[in-house]
Amino acid sequence: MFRINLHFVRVLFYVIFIVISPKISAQQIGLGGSILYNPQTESFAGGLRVEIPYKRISFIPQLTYYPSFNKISEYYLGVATHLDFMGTAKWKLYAIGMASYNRWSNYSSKPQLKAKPNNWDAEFGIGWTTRRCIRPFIEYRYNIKWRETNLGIGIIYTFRCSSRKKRGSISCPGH
Amino acid sequence: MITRKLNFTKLLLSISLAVFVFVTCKKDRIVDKPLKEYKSLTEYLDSKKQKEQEFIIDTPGKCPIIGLQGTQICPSKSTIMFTDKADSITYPYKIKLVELYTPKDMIYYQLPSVGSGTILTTAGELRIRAYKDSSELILRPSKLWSIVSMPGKSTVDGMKQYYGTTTNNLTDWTTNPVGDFGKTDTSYFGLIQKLGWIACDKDASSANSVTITFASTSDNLANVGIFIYIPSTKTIMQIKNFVSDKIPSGDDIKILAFGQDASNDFYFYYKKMTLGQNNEILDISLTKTKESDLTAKLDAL
Repeated sequence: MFRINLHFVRVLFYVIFIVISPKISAQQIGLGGSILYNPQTESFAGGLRVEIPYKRISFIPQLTYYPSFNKISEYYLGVATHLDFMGTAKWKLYAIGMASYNRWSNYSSKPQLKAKPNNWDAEFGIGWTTRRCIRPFIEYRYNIKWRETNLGIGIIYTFRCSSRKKRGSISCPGH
Repeated sequence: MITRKLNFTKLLLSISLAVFVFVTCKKDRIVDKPLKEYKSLTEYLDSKKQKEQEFIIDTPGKCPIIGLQGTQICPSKSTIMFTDKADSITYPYKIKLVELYTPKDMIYYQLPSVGSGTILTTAGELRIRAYKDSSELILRPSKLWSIVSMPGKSTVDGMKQYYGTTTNNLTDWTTNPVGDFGKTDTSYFGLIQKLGWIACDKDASSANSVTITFASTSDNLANVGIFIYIPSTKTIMQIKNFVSDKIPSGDDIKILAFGQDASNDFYFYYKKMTLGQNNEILDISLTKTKESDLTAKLDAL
């Protein structure tokens, strides 16, 4: 079951990459990390992501891991889509839609939840970020399966950004 | 102006979404829900259990008396007496009989075929009592009554007479059976030495045995009736304090647990499994059912 799910995720990544790769050559790919807090499970997580922008939409393959010191230990491997819908020359707000595979490591039998260790999840939410080469971001997402939210803050480093001297303060043309 | 309106709409949508998220959030994964509660099953089981049959013996030669399920007993007036005096008994006197032959009837009567923790192969359980008016009678010393027939589908050798002792409304079978049952192809017969509860059983225990501990994250099992049926030995076991008696390793067993909530709705759990070499812990969860389905499950054991 677990192998099949991972295979599915891998295929999903390949499909997205093949579809959008010809169109992203002129865009800046970003690499970032984040810290997340889920107030419902009272758990902290670390996240890694790659950001592949295309016009107002970005595809973000990402991994989020809630370590074992939490009440709920799990990881999510998925792809989010961001749609920029509001902003200025310096910042923007984006809507988030995400599908992911969830592995609940310290899963325990809770019949009332109909929970399993391997799950498919969907999330939606909202995010804020700047338009600079090194961009902080804040996201608030809602997990439909578990009916939980998570608040994340992080930083994205954008490759091939125009200014090498002041990456943190110069607006990035791709954004 | 149009941009302002659009931004306001987006902001309104965002706020609505945030409110929706806030309202629907759940902490189910870290907070356990309250366990489902059940009321005592005693009233329900008592309403379903085999009725005690009464026979008025008013003339000599009434032998055998025949129970509804085929039990045949030959009573004898000269072999019974009052508990506190040896006076002769005069006609008429009364015989009361309870017949338990099926797993369902033993479950309804809460009278499993386990004696002092030892599992027993059972061919049936009887309660035979004699009364003169309201006084319960006993067999005279060294006197016997004949059970002419206890019907059995596939009879086996080595069945013995296990007498039951009732303390605080709980009946347990003796660990030391006294007397044997003979058999034909379709029945058992024997001469019994005591009135009261008697079972046609034999020891089915094994040195290589395991136990099952029952737990639940969804149901309070305190008032749930949990029973194990072992088809190969025709053993019925009732779980007390959430831990089974010892069951031979490798046995195929059927587990049936059921409860009745305050609204008189029925909930049950059923599982067939083969025991391994180690003690097991079973996390069970009861689901709602109809009484007719529960009865069908009991009939199918």
